[in-house]
Amino acid sequence: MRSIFFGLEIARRALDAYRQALEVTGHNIANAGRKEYSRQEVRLQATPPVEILSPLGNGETQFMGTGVAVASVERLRSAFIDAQMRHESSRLAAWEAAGDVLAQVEVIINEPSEAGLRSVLDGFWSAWQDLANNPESIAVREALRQQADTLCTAFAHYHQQLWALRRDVDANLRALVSEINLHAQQIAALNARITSGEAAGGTANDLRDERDFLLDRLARLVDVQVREGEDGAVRVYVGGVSLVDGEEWSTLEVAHSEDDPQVQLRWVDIGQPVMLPEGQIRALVEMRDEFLPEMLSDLDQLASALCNRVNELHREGYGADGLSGRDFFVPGGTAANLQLSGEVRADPMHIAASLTGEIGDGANALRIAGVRMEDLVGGTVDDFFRSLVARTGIRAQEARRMQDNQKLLVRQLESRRQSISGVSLDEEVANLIRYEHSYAAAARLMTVLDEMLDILINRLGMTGR
Amino acid sequence: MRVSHNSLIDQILHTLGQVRDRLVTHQQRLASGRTVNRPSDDPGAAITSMRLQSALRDVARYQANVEDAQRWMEVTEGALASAVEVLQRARELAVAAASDTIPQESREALAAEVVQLVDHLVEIGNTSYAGRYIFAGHRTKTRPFVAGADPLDPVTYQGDSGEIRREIGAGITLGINVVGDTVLGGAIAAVQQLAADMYNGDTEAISEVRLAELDQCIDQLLGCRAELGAKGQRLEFVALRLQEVAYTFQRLLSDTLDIDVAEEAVHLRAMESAYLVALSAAGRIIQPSLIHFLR
Repeated sequence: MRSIFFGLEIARRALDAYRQALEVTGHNIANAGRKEYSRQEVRLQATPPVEILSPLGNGETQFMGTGVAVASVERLRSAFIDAQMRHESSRLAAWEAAGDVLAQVEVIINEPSEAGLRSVLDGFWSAWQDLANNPESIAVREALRQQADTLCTAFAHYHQQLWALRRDVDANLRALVSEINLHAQQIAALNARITSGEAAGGTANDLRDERDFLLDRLARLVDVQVREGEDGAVRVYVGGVSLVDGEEWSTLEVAHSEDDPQVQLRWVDIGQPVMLPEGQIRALVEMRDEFLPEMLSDLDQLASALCNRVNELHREGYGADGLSGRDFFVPGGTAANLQLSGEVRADPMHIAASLTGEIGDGANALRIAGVRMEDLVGGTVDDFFRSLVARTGIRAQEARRMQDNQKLLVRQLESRRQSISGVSLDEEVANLIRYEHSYAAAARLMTVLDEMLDILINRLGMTGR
Repeated sequence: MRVSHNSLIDQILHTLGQVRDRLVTHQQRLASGRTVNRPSDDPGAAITSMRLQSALRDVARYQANVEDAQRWMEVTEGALASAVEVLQRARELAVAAASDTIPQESREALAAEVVQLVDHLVEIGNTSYAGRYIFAGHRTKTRPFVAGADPLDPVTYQGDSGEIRREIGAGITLGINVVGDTVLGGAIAAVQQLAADMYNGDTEAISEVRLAELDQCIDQLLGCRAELGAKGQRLEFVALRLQEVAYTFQRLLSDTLDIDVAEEAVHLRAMESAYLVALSAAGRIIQPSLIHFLR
């Protein structure tokens, strides 16, 4: 036989359970605005029933309910979507990083426009033609010298800007590597708290949210492999080497200097180079080590081919003073240091427009103007520059398209993740009502039991009074 | 599918962002008047436009060269026409002087005029255009014909036989100058000889040799003028063709780069209304939640 007080216990358990359920709902509502938050759900469970012998005396037993209790507070999260999400967002971050650099290269190139290198080259050739038409004119010679100076400045400008961009990328890389180290440290610390917190059972939901958030951030930088152990701690691998293992973490270091040709990232402990998986960092490394140096060397190739050929022809011609054998540019010029030779700088009459030594002859200037149609660098100078612009354009276009595709994918995953983990205020408010009603009903149960006890205690045994 | 609070907001922000992106694209195109503002907008079109811009610059260059050649040759042509007139006058005087019936004094008076004609021919030989002697070959800064102390001293030619060329198409050049020594040197010498013969009263030499010489010089000059005329016609033809080419390139460039303003404006307007609709829809969706309907 059970005591009447047991009913009070059932009501108390119910009040307790629904109060907790309301608190969890409150926690959900409070965090509804946070994207990294995962919805929590109270799992209520009936407390174990008691077995009593049937008063019917037939030897059968009956199970009597004992109420409800909170079994667990669960975090709704799909590890599968998380893994997919991390992989795809690292690819997105890679395309974003590459696209960002390429967009800046496009700004530097500034084509198609009337202010880019193409226009300056056109002006340079045109100035030689002008000289061919007017070899006697000091003004025309001066104009050619100015135009050639503009060309040198344009090459130097492109070179400087691309080089500065490469340095920016390098600085960015360094910042991102220290971000990895910081995240590794934070994840290791969270591992420790989660392991100790969960040792006594239960799950450290909010700490796990925080760790997942950090893992997401980390995955954008490098596509990490994440394995969760029995104790709730995660192991994080970068290119097969463990970055975080329980409470331990490894540190990456940047072992190259700003202007080194190749990026070098090393594991501090084992001294081995890091095999970079996909992600923002690898995209930046590719830009810094491959794309930008290629652009720079193409510009150099262009500038030096131009320098050599113009000099070659220029040396064969005669200046207005009847002397020949002078260079037009300082020999061996590249994009960075193409400049007019001292002789030409000293006096524009030294420009060798003539092939015969007579002042009215512009034949050499015409030959030099004809360099624009020569196959100087596996094509004409213009062709070469156009192909450089085309390469940049196509890569930037690809990066933008891939970014769009990847964004779509990540968005879909995000919305799938949100459909599992996101807080719906409507749902929470409905739960609020549900649990509130249950709470009210339990309270009413207690009132009823109270009345029953009142009957038993205060109204029974009044006979004969 | 469960739609959470956050994914709803995300969805709204995403749609608004998309519409805004497109608004900006159309706005940029309208502002710049171009469909391709950076190579990645359309790498093919960017390259084509660069090629066309360079080609247009070349064509403009050739047009300027052709004009310059035309002006140079007009001046040459004018000078040669005067030279022909001078020689014809010399020939008239030679015919008059060849007659045995006129007295030697009259012949000498005629000879004085012929000497003037020599000076005139030397002047013509020293014609300059834009500060350059056009008959001096490459020595455009050197006076090509220099008379001696006496009008009948031989005139020296100080130019050379250099050819001046203008590029009138890719790799196509055209010689535009006439070397003074070839076309005028003989004529000056012939007229000088005529004057000498007239002073000497050598009527036989005048009628037998000088007249034929003068005729030959006149023929040569006329031949030279004909050649210039033919070149002039060729230049005119080239100029016309260059104009057509420039027009075609301009049109192609415009097709490649320029926006259709009406089309862009309509797109922009459509995007604007789409944006407004999206905004007002967002406004309606975000506001209510169950909270607003309870108690």
